Amino acid sequence: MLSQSTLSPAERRFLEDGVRQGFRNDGRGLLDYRPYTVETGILPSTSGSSRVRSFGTDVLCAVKVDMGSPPADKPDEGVVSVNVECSASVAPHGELEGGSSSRATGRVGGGRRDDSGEGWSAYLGALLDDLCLPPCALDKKALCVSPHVYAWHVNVDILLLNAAGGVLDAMSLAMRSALRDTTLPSVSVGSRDEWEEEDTADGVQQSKPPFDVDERPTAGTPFPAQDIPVCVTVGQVCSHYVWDMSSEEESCAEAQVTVAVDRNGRCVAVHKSGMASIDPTGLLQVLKDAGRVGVELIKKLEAAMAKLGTGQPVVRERLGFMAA
Amino acid sequence: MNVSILTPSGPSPLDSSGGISSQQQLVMPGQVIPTHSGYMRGHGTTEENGQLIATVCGLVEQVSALIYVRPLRSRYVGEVGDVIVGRVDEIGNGRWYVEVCSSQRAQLHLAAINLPGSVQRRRTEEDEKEMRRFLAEGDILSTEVQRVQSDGLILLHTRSAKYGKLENGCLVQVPPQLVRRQASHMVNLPCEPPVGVVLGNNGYIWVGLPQRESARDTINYALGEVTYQAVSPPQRQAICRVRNCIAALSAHYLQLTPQSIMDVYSASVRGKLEVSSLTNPEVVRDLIREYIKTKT
Amino acid sequence: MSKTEFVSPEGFRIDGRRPSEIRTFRCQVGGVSQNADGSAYVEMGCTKALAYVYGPKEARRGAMKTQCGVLTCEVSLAPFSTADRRKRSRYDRQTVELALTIRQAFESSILLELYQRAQIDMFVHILETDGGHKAAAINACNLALIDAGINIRDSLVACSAGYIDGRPIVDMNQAEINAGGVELLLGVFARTRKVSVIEMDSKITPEVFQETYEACIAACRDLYTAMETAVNDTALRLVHSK
Repeated sequence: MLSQSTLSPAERRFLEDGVRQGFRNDGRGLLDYRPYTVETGILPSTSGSSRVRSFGTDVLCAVKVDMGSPPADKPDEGVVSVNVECSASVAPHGELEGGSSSRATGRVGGGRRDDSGEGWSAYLGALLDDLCLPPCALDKKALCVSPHVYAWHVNVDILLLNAAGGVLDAMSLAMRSALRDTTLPSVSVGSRDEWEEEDTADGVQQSKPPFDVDERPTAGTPFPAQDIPVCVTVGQVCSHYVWDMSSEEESCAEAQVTVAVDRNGRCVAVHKSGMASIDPTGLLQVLKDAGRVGVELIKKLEAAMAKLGTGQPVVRERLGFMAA
Repeated sequence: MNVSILTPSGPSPLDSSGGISSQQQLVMPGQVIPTHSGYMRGHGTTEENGQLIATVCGLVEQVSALIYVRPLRSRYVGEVGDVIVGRVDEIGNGRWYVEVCSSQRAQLHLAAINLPGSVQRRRTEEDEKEMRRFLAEGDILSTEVQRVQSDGLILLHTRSAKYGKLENGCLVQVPPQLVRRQASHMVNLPCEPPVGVVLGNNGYIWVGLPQRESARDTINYALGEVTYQAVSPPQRQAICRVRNCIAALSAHYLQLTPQSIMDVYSASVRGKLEVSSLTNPEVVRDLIREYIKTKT
Repeated sequence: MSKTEFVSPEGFRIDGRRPSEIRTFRCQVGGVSQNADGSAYVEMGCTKALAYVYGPKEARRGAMKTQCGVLTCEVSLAPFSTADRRKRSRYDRQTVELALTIRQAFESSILLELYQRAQIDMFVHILETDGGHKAAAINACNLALIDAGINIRDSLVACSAGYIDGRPIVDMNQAEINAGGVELLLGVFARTRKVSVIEMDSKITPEVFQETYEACIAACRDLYTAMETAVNDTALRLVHSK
């Protein structure tokens, strides 16, 4: 489980009965999502950035683009790496030291982050990488500038400021919107005669051509992020499937399935967590619904970003953390 | 299926229907509070070089000779007689440690509850071992503050039939400043169907099925009286709507009273708003604006 | 190669400011976090810091002190905060030192004797650095503590200052810091003007130090005015809502 909050048996029963009736604690139906608030371009020193919030869950994503060498085994591709960091105020599993439990709304008080926090961050990073950046979703060849010589190294850093359910979904939205906000600068690589001798760390001399970066944002190309999927997480509570769970609902869920869906509604990857097993027919329905939800999410995300004016020079003042 | 993605907006300029009266003074930590001679120093202040200094951001209040600063936001500070809703965190040493959103956990001693069958006797070791039968870890209960020690430790008691374990509902958490001392903290709101609400002074609010009135004063609440009841769909709708209305008032920092909750509830019903739409911050903003207009 | 002039003969710095002028200060007191008891966001020019305060709450058993409360602080410099991306470990010397500085500074301002058996946790995130991130961190923590309603004796305001081209300059950006020279960090109490934080690691004459110190104190005063306005506005908004 990604988060746990202590619920009394009475609250659990109330919640579970509600799920059986198709009516959750905040009045939503089982398939209803809480509204997300998204803003991009809030960190001007990065190549792309975004912040996604949803009822307590707060995720910040920043993309930094650097010139480097392509990997030895794939000389015509660039490198994209995802790194997740959970704020020390978000203790994994909602546990605080000293026995103080977290409260019903999933509020996690400042627990001291121990090594399990870093383990959780690494787990989330690896999961996001598998779900949202598989080869079919990202054309890494577009990141190559000069085969065997230069390629873009794209570092995606995700900072989880607060967790209140739906963490993976929010992170995937943040990553997609930050990458859509990213522009790869235009680069011109020098000709063969201009190659300079350069000493590498091994002491072996290697030739590297000079390159010229055009810093103007209008000259660059947008990062190829159209096919990057978003994650849609569904939980199984008393044999019913609940979408966009709050942290109370997550603590009642016996199992969770996260589906990565692209803009065409195709399922790119699936991940299951939790102790209970899932009925295969139920799972097929979940995948179908996930497709619909994913398409809707991406469509609304694109609309929101168009409203914000992504990719262009900043037209309106970014609110960032000054927003309500 | 309902999916929405919003772009952020700045803080909403709410109509200033309240406002500070000329007698009230807003202070910041470190500011000097003008005083007369013979005053007594209360919470939120400190003395330095003969001057009274505010230590929190809030309004200066004066009750006869006592001058104190009421902070605008803070954790719950216990006062005798407050009604509290808490969650049992730990059991040991003949007491329950109850989480109440204060600087320390409150304590409910075994001697401060009513035993089953309203028996009056000394608590034995058997009782200590059986504490979990009354209240287990994670249970939510309503209690009253019996005493507050000098170091701030809150001691609770449930020596009244109206207090005890809470069932058939859900918990909402709001800033403690929004729940002032009022005539009745345990109310059945006149919704269609009625909804029971327990307003804890510590900011924990229980919303659920209406509480049943009980004539006898010393009823055992933990075993037998409070039981699980099935909640019908219309009842659940009403409960969830009230819960969302409380969250709406809290998000805009408005006082929570049975009247204010009912007003927002009625406004949402009049506006034919779906219960789930009350999770949308923009819908909530409009609803609260309307509520404030009707109040003034 | 001509030497870069950081303060022009007319008295303007490379970003157009006067030597005694602080950068644009923007902040948001409260409302930055749904869960934290207190939160604040501070922008000093391009430097951005976020602070969350949790507490006072029950202290952890091992950390409990009998006579007064416990204060902890954790600082995290985001990998994307610097111009060159750099992932730092939790035990990075710079962040541990800064956390210690902040903790000690606020231990003198918070009335910890009112919080026996309780604990107050501060978490700081530096999201972008363009010089002065330590000052931004301290200012953000101060605002977050005020938002959390924690009893403090006085507001702690911090600012950095340096000495370039024969003039003291305040609130330096990264370009000015990279020029070398003095970098003085001061954390001052707003009302009593007492110094709680002082950090400097350069060899300078006492006269230069005096000038830089006085310029820094004046800058802290300007910063406090801006912070006071922000806290007042937030407080008025809350009071009006009631």
